[in-house]
Amino acid sequence: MSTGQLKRFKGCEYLTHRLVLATLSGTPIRVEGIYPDEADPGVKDYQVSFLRLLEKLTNGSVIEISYTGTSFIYRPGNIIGGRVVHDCPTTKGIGYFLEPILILCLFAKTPTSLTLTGVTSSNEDIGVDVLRTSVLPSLQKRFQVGDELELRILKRGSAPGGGGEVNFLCPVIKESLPPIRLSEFGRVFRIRGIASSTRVSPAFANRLVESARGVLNPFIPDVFIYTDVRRGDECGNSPGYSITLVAETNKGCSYAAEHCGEAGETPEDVGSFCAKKLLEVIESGGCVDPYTQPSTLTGMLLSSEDVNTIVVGQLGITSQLVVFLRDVKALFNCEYRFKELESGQVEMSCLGKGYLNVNRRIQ
Amino acid sequence: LAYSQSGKRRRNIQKIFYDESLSPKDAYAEYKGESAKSSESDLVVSDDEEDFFKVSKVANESISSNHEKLMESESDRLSKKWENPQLLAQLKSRFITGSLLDSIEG
Repeated sequence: MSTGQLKRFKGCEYLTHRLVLATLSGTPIRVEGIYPDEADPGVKDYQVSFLRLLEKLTNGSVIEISYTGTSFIYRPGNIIGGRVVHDCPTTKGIGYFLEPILILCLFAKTPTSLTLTGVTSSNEDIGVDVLRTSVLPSLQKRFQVGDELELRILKRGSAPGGGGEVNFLCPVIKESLPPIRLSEFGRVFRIRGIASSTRVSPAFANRLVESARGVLNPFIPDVFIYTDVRRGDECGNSPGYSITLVAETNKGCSYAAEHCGEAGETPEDVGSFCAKKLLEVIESGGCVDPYTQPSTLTGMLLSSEDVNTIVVGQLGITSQLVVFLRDVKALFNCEYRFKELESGQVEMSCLGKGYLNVNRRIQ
Repeated sequence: LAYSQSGKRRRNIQKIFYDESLSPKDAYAEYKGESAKSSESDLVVSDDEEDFFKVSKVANESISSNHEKLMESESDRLSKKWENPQLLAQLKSRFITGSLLDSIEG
């Protein structure tokens, strides 16, 4: 249950991570100035939905939203986990809800089985394929949580209709997370990917694969892109197609890129654009890509009381990172240190808080 | 990147990022070496009272067409970027198939 003093924040950039940090630290927060100048001011439906999801995953959380919706108070409760089902609004992808939750569920009372329904891949938010093939394996490796950390894509749902369904399984950890020290990112030795489509011709997925391979093969021959074509009950009502590419290095790092087909874009455009995005992420370098970076930084913060170091690429340095750093400072009283490297990357380090799972059921 | 390679004094990134007097966007702009005011210049402000009641050109454009334009420009940027043979040669060293001599791995 929240016991600390109420912390105030202005604006709602990177709100989901702020709420997760508040839950982990047990600090009640007040967020003000939420889209006050817009024609439709106040918290958006997806933000309310995320608050409701936190309410389901915790016990004793209190959410008070102001009359105008431009401010709210969140008093976090205990993280209980368990079997949770949540409908995500189609205005945001499932990744918007799932990505910040990944670390939170590790510190729950019981193992989590979270079923989310909605849009499985969109260009605005992290897609479920990136989470399954890049982020989760990375977290499994870094935090030594094993194969129990799993994401199953039961149904695919494209925007705008959604109708996708995923099941996230997360164990609870018994000790604090191990410290992370990643300085070498190595060279890319293989590229894997998934080209998926819903309610369109199966040829679309093959066209995505061909165009992506056309860009990537001059760099490396070991490129294998699976196709996942869904029809009928296996997907939602909207037609769509997307591609996710993951490059793996010989030092155990991975870089991911994804892109969904929009109106007016051919599968060839989507495939080659995604491949070029991946090349840019590889060029940027670092030990984690921008998708894995938030979870890794949160894990570093919560790890055992030791120095954590990670090298991030220039693409990982964004204004959202600045918001995250300030939130961590406000809620955990911890600052990350930075060192610019000659190669252009930035080394980030912090001292772990030795965070223990106080919610875990004693057996 | 340009800053660190130019041999100038190293910046205190920590100071920039944790400086509460700067908004996160301004702090990021300062890190990138861009003027924080550049984003403000994008806003078209007119003092003309008649213009106040007219629908602005920006507002007239639909969100979807804005998105399409954004995607087009991003796609063009990436296409142009990866046409540069020098950049392509540099990138090859990041792959296991590239030459070990020009390795720049971390």
